[in-house]
Amino acid sequence: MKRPVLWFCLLLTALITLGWPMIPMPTAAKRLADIPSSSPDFQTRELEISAADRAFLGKAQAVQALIAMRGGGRLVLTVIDGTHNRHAVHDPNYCFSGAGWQVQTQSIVKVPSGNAMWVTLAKDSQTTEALWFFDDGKHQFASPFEYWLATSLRRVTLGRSGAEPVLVSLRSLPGESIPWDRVRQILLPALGFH
Amino acid sequence: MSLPLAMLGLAVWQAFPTLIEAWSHDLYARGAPLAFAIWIATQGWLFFKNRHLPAPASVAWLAASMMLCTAGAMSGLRVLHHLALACAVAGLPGRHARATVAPLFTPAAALTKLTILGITAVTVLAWLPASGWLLSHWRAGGLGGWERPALAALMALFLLTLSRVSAPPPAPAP
Repeated sequence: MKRPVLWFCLLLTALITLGWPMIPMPTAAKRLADIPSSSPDFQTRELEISAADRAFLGKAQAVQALIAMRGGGRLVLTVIDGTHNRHAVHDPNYCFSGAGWQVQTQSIVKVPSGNAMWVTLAKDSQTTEALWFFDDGKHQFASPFEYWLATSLRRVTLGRSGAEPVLVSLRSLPGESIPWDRVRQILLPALGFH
Repeated sequence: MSLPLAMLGLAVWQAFPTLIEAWSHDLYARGAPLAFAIWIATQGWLFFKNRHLPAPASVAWLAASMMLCTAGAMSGLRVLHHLALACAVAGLPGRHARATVAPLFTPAAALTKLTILGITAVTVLAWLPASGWLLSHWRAGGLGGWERPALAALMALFLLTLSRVSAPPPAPAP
């Protein structure tokens, strides 16, 4: 009696395992496409994503651009939509650390509709700063755990629990000084993260 | 076809592509494939050594593997597929292993089970790519590559030191 029940459970497991990931879900592609290329406060230049990064991203969609702020300061913007490959989206501190950068300081800072993580990084004699957060179109947060929860719930509910959060990362060029207050108050809303 | 083997096949199919991808890209997973090999070899040795014992499959491990596999597919969390694989493998020699760990240091049966579970959990952590996330909070640039296999080897040594060769079941009376 027990054995047929276990076989039935295994069959059910196999069906769900195969079928569930094939059900399509709405992506965040429109939010990526809507990022403006210029405004009175900044100019952007699209950066080509390297072949190695493309391989790593897989089916995830990403945009990368160099942003020149009016009044000085250049940043590399990276936005990743992990709807089709959530595993391309990591805790950025994990990636920084994996690339050999030492996270020297980190703090939660306020952004237009939530929180972001601001970090200073050092590797050999280089230093840089970065600001990263997840954005679901309504609010921003800096918790990878919240991202995992939100995206897992979204997959379980087939997208009914809300929009897919995207990872937004802004990194200064090594050695350049960035007015981060202006980034938070002016640049982010202008880029569509408000 | 054996039910535990069918579950193992499903778990391997789901977990292996992502395991290989993580092991080949993640700096924090250096040495994890070797740790995995040590773990598999230990489980295989336990299974082989006690193949004469009855009841090779553990329903608890099987059920856990099925639930983790389903949850992994529905949530898209790869770590659940990896844990499903761990449970599917542990389900093969699971009851054998419990029968063969001598109650030398853990006289109570419950403690023996906990010891096995503890050793299994620590060894699984040694090859699990998700454990790299914990490491990233501790050390920049990842590990040297020997730490994960060393941990798996230590746990295997511990398990094999505790285990004893069980006597074959007595022949039925004529």
